[in-house]
Amino acid sequence: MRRLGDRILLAYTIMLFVFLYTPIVSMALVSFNSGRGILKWESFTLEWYTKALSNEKILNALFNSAWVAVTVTLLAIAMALLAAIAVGRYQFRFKLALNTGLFLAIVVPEIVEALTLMLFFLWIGSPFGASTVIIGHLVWFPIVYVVIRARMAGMPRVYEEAARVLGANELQTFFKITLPLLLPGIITGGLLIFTWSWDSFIKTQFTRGPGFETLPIYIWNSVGARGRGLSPEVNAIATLSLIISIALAYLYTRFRGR
Amino acid sequence: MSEKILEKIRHRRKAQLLLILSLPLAFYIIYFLIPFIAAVGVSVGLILPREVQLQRGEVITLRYYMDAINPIFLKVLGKSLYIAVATTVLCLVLGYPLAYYVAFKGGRYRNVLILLVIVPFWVTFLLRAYAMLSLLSPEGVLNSFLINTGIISKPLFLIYNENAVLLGMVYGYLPFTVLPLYASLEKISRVYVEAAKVLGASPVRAFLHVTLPLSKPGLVAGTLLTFIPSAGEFIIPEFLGGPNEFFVGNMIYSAFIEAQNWNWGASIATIYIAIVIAGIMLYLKYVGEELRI
Repeated sequence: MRRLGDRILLAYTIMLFVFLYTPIVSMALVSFNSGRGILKWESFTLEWYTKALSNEKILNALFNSAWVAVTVTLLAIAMALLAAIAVGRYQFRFKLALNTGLFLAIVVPEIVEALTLMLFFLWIGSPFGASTVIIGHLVWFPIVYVVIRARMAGMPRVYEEAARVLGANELQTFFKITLPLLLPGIITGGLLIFTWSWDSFIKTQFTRGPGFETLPIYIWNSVGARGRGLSPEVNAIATLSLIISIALAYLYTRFRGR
Repeated sequence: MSEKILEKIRHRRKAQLLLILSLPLAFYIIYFLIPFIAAVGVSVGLILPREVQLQRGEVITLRYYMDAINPIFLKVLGKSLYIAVATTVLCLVLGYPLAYYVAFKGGRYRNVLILLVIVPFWVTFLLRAYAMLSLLSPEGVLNSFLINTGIISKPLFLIYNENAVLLGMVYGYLPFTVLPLYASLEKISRVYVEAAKVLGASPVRAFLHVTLPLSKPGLVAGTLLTFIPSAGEFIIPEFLGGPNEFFVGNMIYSAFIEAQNWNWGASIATIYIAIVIAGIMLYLKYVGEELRI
């Protein structure tokens, strides 16, 4: 009886994984198919990848996505570290409010943050472009903060105190003790915000200038309204982005356990 | 003497705190809090008023709200809330057994199963929506497979209806439900379940009276993580819904990006946010859970 229940559950789990993976796997397969229409499997090819990677617009979008994500990640880590140290190592009155407030920035739907920011930039008359996109993504820095704070909470303070007693000044203590101890948290938090930035479509769409395209924007624009523009080329670039996401997810599971 | 030293240290700490906190705090206030106030300001015409409003000499007006609240908007709003609730319920019902299996029955494959759960969570939402479209569209993979194997002769028209949207939504949001469910199930000590069984409870009873109540934080988190974004979803309806499937997210998107009517966009967005927040508060009150942070 018990065995049967477990088997049914296993069958169900496999079914659900099939549901979750069929679309992405089939998308990847189409990108390796030499037939132009996706109607028929012909033979394995990398043609669509070479085509996609020699398309200037795609390269440009890829480059923009990458440098925006790197910039956002580094700045977000810096800000999250500052906030985490302030909350974790100092006493002040509105600490709880700050903690809650930062958390809000993660749970608010992306479209809401995107449109409020767009209105704000319109209001202050700031020109839209790469910098507004970066600011928009940076509003997610609390996700890094949450991860670093969690790491800090489980970290005994004796190491820092020992360093101070042994004569290190505050900055030395921070760079030699606190920072290395926080590193796994910094890496997991950094991976998270890098992915959020790399994946962001809505925020980027609302805060970018007309000429500035990232990869998700390129995909959206070429698929077009109502998905008329399905093409193996887009599948190829989408699959490439997929592989990067999966690599990041794998790295994340590796570092989370530390 | 020691008083003086203490005072000095206190001052120093305060100065340090100010130095450390000022950058993230200022960024947060300027780019997260103030934009919210600005959006409300735009919705009443206090900020970025339209030409017509200026001609009428109105500083603040509720006109944009009155224009926005019309039968079409109410219908769209109702439909969006319905699809968000349906998505959330389906994701919880479908996702729970999966999370349960991974948490308790995974055995030596557990790490692989966890990775399988996490990966879709990390893959761009837009890409997964695109993948679903390339699977289901008339020229898509599923149709070509069915035609090539001779099961059908003409492509089936699977998209551009409400069921396609719901399918896409469940596909898109399932990882958002499963991950918190798994996280809370994993924390449950098997000792409680064993105790219930030793004391004579059937497996079903042990599940209903021990495991299920203990996984409540995961159910609450999964519900919120699914409901909040799905209420404003517009990528899935855009790709899979066709012209008849229009939701609040699509309305907001077209108000801002296509029509560029800020006041209209801001007022419908404010109404939508207010309703979502009210819904969340009611839900939390009903399930008796504090928003633990």
